[in-house]
Amino acid sequence: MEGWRTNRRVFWTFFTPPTAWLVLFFLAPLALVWGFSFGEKRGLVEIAINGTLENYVRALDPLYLRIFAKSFWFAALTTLICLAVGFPVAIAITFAPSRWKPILLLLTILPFWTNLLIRTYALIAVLRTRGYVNFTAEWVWEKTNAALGWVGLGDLQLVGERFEPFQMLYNNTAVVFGLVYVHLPFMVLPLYAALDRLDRSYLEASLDLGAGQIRTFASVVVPLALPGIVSGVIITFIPALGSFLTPDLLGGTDSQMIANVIERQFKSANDWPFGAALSFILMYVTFFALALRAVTSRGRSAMEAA
Amino acid sequence: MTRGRHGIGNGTDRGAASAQPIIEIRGVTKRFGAGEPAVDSVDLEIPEGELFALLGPSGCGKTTLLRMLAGFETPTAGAIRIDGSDVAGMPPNRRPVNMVFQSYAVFPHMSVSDNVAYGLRVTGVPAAERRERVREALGLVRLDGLGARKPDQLSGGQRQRVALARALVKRPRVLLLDEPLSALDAKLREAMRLELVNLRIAVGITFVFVTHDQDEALSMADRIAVMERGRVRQVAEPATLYEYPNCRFVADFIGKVNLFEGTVRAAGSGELTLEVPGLGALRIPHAEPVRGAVGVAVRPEKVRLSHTRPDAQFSFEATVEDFAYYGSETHLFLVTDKGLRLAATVPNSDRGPIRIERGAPRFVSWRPGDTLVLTE
Ligand SMILES: Nc1ncnc2c1ncn2[C@@H]1O[C@H](COP(=O)(O)OP(=O)(O)OP(=O)(O)O)[C@@H](O)[C@H]1O
Ligand SMILES: [Mg+2]
Repeated sequence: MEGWRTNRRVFWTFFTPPTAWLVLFFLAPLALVWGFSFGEKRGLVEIAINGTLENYVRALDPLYLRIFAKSFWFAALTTLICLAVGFPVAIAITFAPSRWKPILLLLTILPFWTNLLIRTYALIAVLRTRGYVNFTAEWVWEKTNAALGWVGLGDLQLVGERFEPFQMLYNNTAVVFGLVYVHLPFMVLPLYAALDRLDRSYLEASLDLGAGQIRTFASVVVPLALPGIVSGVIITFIPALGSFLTPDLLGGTDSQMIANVIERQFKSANDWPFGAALSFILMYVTFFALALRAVTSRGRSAMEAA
Repeated sequence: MTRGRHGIGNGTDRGAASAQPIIEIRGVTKRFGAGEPAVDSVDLEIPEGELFALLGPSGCGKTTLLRMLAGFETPTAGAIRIDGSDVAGMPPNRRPVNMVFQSYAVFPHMSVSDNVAYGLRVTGVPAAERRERVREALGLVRLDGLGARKPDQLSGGQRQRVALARALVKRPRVLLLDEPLSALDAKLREAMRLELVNLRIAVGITFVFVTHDQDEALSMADRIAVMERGRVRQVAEPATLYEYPNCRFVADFIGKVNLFEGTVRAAGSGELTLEVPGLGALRIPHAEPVRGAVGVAVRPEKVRLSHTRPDAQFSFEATVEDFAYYGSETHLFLVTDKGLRLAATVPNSDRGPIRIERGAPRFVSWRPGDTLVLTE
């Protein structure tokens, strides 16, 4: 009997549709946009691809560089917080009783079942001036005030004359908070996968040899889970870097990220060539980060083999 | 073997054991949820300097008992004392014991030296002393010169030596080993048996090892605890365990045995008269007077075969049903005319041709004193 690997007809039947799909709907548009980035806007819809580097030069303007830098800063901070929050979560899931694991994993990915836009509006409903956090805070304030009045300290205004709602939205903190909220599952899942694969006897050996829990975590768990940590960092950082909905809805005037600028070029500003150039700069940087990771991991395995 | 030369270990040699056992297990039970306990009211005392084996079939609770000594499991009931102090609630990193894991658990991201040094580094042993002790430990397990290697560049046997060195460098009072030889191939396993025994003599500390391999336990251990479904059935020296098993389970688990069911007809004045259906009456010397139904057993190598009726007080006829040649010995499977089966092992002490045929008649006998009477 002929295997599917050797049967050409079977091979092409399975190979052609996805390839055609990829070429038609991914590579071709990408190539088109890449072309646009070397073009010039002529009129409302007309773009002349004339090989100019004008768009790239413009992208290096301090105004845009600052936004690039800010985007990196937000994405890096988001990744760091996700790592700090995600590690304990992943450990908890790993060491949970086996019948709880599927439920906990399901809860981790539950947010994916709801549209990002809806989740972001829900976050707004929680954080806004007349939102649930402030409602709760106000309730606490009132009770405290009443209690103080009851013990005869009401006139001192110890908790303020009036309840001042927290301003939690439309600033950089809100953006990072939103980014962490959105990207946490991307961090938890690879971390969990790495930790779950880790042989428990390594941890027990470390404890047995006299190391405490913290020492074991630092000297055994982290190094052995490193591939999972790197994966988690990459697949959190890259989408966080390209976010535009979260800064758009939760951010203030100075919280826009590079994707917001790009979006504006394609829509309101109608400057496709410049938008295309910005997009590709972002993509090159991402590729560079991935290549760096590939090189370092190759270096490490080469070192281990030596 | 000179002792104390290596500086590792601070125990005394066997025979010079102090009055207080290094390990004392009192009524220890471990339950994992409902159902039968994994370890069931175990009492054990292990004197210092012993090479002690926990032997039993798969799932009988050996590993669980060992892990309770190491501190990875908490007993549901009972108490464990190590070196005189109760270790309840004492975490693994504080116990004066170290463990060699079945999978060895040699850290893959550290070199051999770093693996061995790990237990010293985490407890703050100064670098100079650390280097010296690591070198010494690697020498002890004959891994000198391999310190810079990574674990994935070692053979299984070498990885095991790393695990041994890593535990011994801590100078524990007791070394716990979970199936230390099961991951090695047959030849290496034989060699390592002797090496482990010599290593124990060299370091002079107590070794407690788990195994399901009776040959391993018999050939290595000073004493063996045989476990069955969470309970310790018998604790004895290898020869006692083999020649004087206290129950059907131990008799059957250790070595090969011909086991029949019989009844005691008469008891008294250091003798028993047993009635075994298919064999007839047997009069055997036996100190304790027992009554009722008993197991009557004899080891195959104690069975004597002859072509003519032997001049023994007890014998019967059987035919050779089958036989298997093992080089050093031949195993014969016999059946009596009443359909009772038994096995006999005869050493091939002469070089001459084997003269055994299927269907050939033989007279079977054994010394009355070699008969095992099992009440349990
Ligand atoms: N963490 C655990 N949770 C639940 N049951 C367990 C756990 N560890 C062991 N058991 C059960 O306890 C019993 C004894 O297990 P243990 O590992 O001690 O056996 P063992 O004698 O070492 O067997 P083997 O020779 O197969 O290693 C088994 O029935 C096992 O299923
Ligand atoms: Mg086991």
